[in-house]
Amino acid sequence: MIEIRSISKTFSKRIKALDNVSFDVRNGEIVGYVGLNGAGKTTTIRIAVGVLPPDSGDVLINGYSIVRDKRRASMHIGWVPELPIFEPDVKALDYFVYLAGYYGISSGEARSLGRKLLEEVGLGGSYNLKLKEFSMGMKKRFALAVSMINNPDNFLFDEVLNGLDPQGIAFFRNLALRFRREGCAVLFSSHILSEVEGIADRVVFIHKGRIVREMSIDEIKSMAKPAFKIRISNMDERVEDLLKDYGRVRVEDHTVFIEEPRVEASKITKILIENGYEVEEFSRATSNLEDVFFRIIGERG
Amino acid sequence: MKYTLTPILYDFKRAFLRLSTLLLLVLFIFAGVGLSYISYNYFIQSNPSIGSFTLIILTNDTAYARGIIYDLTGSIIDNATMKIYRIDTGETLFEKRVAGNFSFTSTSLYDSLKEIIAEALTPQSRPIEDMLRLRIESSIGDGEIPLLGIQVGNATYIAFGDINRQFFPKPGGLTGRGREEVMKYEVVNAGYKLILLSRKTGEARLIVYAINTTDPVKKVHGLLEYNTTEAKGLPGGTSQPIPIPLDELSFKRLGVINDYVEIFSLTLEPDKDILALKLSPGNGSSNFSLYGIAMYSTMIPVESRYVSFIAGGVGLSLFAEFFPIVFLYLAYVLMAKPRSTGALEFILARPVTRWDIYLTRYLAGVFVALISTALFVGAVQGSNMALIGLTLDAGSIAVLYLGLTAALIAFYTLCYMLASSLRSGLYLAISILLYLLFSMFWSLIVLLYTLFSGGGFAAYNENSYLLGYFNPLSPISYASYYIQLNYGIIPEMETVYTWAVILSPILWITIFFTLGYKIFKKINLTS
Repeated sequence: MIEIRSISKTFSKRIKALDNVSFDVRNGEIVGYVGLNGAGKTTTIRIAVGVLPPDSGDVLINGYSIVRDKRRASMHIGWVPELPIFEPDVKALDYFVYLAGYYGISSGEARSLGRKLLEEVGLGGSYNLKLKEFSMGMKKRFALAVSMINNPDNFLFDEVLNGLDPQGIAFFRNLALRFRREGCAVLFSSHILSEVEGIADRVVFIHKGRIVREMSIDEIKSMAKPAFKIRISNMDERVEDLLKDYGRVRVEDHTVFIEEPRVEASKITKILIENGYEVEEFSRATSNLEDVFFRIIGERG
Repeated sequence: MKYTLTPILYDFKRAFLRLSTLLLLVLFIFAGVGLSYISYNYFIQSNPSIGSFTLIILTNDTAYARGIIYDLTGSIIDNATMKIYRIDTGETLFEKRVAGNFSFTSTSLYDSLKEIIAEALTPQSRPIEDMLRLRIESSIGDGEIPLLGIQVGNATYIAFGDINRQFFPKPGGLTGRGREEVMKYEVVNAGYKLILLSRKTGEARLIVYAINTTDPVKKVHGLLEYNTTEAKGLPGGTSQPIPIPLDELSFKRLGVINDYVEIFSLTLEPDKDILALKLSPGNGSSNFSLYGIAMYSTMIPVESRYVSFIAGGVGLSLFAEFFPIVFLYLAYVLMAKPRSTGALEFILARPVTRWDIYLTRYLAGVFVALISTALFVGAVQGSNMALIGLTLDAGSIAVLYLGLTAALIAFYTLCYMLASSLRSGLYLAISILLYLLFSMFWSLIVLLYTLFSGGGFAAYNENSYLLGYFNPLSPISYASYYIQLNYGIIPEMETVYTWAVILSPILWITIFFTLGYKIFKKINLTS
């Protein structure tokens, strides 16, 4: 269980990175954390895993405060950073053993655990490679293996699919689903809504450091219903009024969009022609998730 | 407790037990040996390291030689090569490999010496003292031993020696210059050399020779006694007549003399000034006693002369100059580098807090300072013992250790603070700059300060101690100051306040440690 409680963070006087951010990730749930690049996703996660102190607010991991009781809280967190950085000149297994030491695991024990976990994340043949020789995908897998040392029940994946090959993407998606089955709380951040669509139960939207919306996947999908797109040569402002009873109307230059239409297309055409409008083009458009995303955060793509 | 403490101890262990640190400790041991060795070399360059008393008796067409070779502490050395040569021509008359305590006979030596004595007896010849010299060459140094005495006739002998005092026959009113009288009254020619090893312990060595001038082949047998006394109301300077009440002194037995030369170890009372010696015939008759005195309170002990090289500008400061670089590097490896690359952030996601990381890595450096300095001081002591047989006293060792650790920890704290707030490139630039400022250019700053404050060059020393409070490396200078003061090598300085000497490193350390954490607590660890 990850409870983010009113965290705020300002980096310099001008940029407010996070403004009173609050949301929960419950056990057995994958929460997508979606926002544009620079919206504050990584900052939220870095505060939640305790590597960055918030200006105010707190994050509770299984009830332990990351601010006041970090040692205890950290025992229950797995974190895969967006750009993991390790000591470049150390061999993978050695670095794993080094990091495992922080959990009080002896070096012999850590060595066999390291072999097992590195194998599990698909780094079976790379024990003795230096970490600087790892690709981005391998680094993320390595960070994941390290995250699993203590068998935590909270995972924070920061843009984890970014820069991965299809195989890697499938691996991390399946892994998130497995953690959910095992009752873990998983926070999965991305700047692409469709990336989390298939796996997340809920999506938290962040924009310019503020949480703008929290929605279930079903709600989001319903927003992505089909719409009519009608191009009218002699467009005027009465159109919106005329069509408002048949669906949600939006006008852009010579195009009118009717989202979630309540009537058939022929009926709409008929009304328009009866009122003297010249319909140049009529099409059925399905608004995709990215449109939904931009609509939610209130900006046009 | 284990639950929360394990990661902290672990970080400490990993920070301390790294190859570079262990190599560094070895480096410090070498530095300690090096310091002793360099100091020793400087020392023996300015102090003759080898002395000898060698008696050669010429009788029955044979030269009989008997002598000892000792180092500057009066200890017999293992072996050496002795050469008797002519000063004027440089010609080596005789050469032989001998033990530190030797006797041998030689006919070739007899021939050479007879020849040169004959030449010296011609009226136009220079005195024989200017013609003959003994040279000793050994692994610990060389010695030029002048001619000490010569007797020509049917009992011919030549003595070489660096022995500077003669026994005299009558007590009272005599100076150490009573040689002529000695020769007149007695058939025994006896002399001594006092080597004061340490003023504080009073440890000393006495080298005594005695020759029966009537028949040099016969050894003198005698009892040597001694006592110490104060030089109350005496004018300064050993050349003044010293009215020592030798009759009133009760002498204590030091040992017996059975050979031409003997070495005695004795302990002089540190609060007295004068050593009085009494040499009496073995038959117990004190009528023929000889006396000797030596004012030791004004002698500079071997120890002090050596310490001035160890603790002074030549030895300690030469090495201390380079130690801070090690700690500059340590702060870089432990903090600046991992922080700058971003690797520290991933470590911080383990069950440790920023404070834990900051503290343990700091303490690891402090621990290195404590251990390496201990090894360094131990190596200095050990090699002093091996090279010269002298060590610093416990108080000086403690001061040396405290001074070095205080300086290194203070400088490390400064570097650590910079390391926890600056990127590694900038860290290296600034810390190297500060190192140069505090070690190399500091004397320039003191000089400028002295010039502008109008004290003149005389005030330079005082100012260097005064400004030292603002230099994290200065505890080394203060340690050097207190050690040299302790051995009576330098006078007391008005600008050295003990409280400030102690307070200054404490402030350096606490201020930079606290300031460093204030920055580190908040800093963004992303590269």
